[in-house]
Amino acid sequence: MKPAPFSYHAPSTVDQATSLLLELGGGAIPLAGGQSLIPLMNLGLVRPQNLVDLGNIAQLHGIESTDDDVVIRAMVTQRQAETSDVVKSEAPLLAHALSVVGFRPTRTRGTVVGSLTHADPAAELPIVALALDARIRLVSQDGERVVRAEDFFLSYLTTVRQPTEIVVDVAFSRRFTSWGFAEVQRRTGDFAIVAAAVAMEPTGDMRIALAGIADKPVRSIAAEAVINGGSVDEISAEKAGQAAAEEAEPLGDIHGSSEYRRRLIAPIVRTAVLEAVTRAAVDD
Amino acid sequence: MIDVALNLNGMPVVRSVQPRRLLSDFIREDLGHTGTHVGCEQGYCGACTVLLDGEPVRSCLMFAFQAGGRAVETVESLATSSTELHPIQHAFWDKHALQCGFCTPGMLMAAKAILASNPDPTEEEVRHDLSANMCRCTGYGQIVDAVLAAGATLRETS
Repeated sequence: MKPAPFSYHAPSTVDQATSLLLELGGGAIPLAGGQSLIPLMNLGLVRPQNLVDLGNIAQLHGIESTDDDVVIRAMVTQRQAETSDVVKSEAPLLAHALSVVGFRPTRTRGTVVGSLTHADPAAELPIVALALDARIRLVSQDGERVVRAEDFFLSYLTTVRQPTEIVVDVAFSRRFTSWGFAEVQRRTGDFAIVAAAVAMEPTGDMRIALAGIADKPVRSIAAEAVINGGSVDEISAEKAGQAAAEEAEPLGDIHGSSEYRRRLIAPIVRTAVLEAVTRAAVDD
Repeated sequence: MIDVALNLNGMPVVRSVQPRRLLSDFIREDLGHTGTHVGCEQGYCGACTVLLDGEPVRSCLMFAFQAGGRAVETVESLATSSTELHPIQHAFWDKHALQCGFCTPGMLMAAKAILASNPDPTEEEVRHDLSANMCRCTGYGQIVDAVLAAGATLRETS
């Protein structure tokens, strides 16, 4: 199938883009890399009357390192972030997760911000955003607001972004001293059936985020409670995994039943937690 | 209608198309280069793989307007003449790495990009990087052999 007809707009600044979104109303969708949007349009599932192409907006390019964060702007591709020396050294969890997102050709066009805004609950980048305490900046004609990752994702393919807003950048905290990541995929490049992203605070506490078990990415409060404030070893990692599995009420679909997903949670969490511990020990 | 101007296989081209025109269809229908194949239009199969400024992309997941001002290379750019195959094509022929040929243009362009960024890959690396392209005929073994053989040839001649 082919996309339905639409009117094309090519603003050169963020201000022009948000002005267009306001003027065009709800029937306008911003276009970044298109690797999530265009498949939906090719299937006829999404038929915007207007596309606002962000590709000509110079302000939306660039990766910046501040004292606290690594800031990735909206048009930075997944491939640029994956291969960036700044990302590799300051947010290595992100660099690693990117290497398993889709394929090199989709990462060459797809953007980091776009994947977050698309908000597929089985995607890898949203749980990295939760683990790394990311802050997402949205701009509209009314001004700008910064939303924390845990408040950004509402439900399946739904975020707090309003139709008149553009996400201009995402800031991942640099403070974490170690990380772990584990995922079950049927084939290389697939979305996760279940995935866990772990980031370790300077105190040794961990943030543990899970994909594929709910209608949005979630932090496992139960797993974190087992780990945090105590020492982490094989036994506590195992208990954390079990706590995460008990706490979860996974939704099943054609890629994995709810029972299958539940069974994957404990080993996935355990693996990611132990990886973070091992990595921290090696770095010391 | 909007004008899309880009460089195709070294030649500047410009056509007037609807904004919704996908790059894959622009290449095939508007520019008459039917070597690039359309399989899934979902980004899974890789039959539509072309190079955009040297990087592999899914042409079915781009609008033609997104390639404006850029350099696009398709499978037609590989052979140096009508009688002389590119080393990668020769390796595919020599190792019997195609049957129906539908995935082949995507495989060739993917292979070109793989070998450009990793001239001496291991078999594991080739298998991993080629996982972006699907083949229903060959079982992939001969394709991997062909890419490794092409890598060897390209290293010798460079």
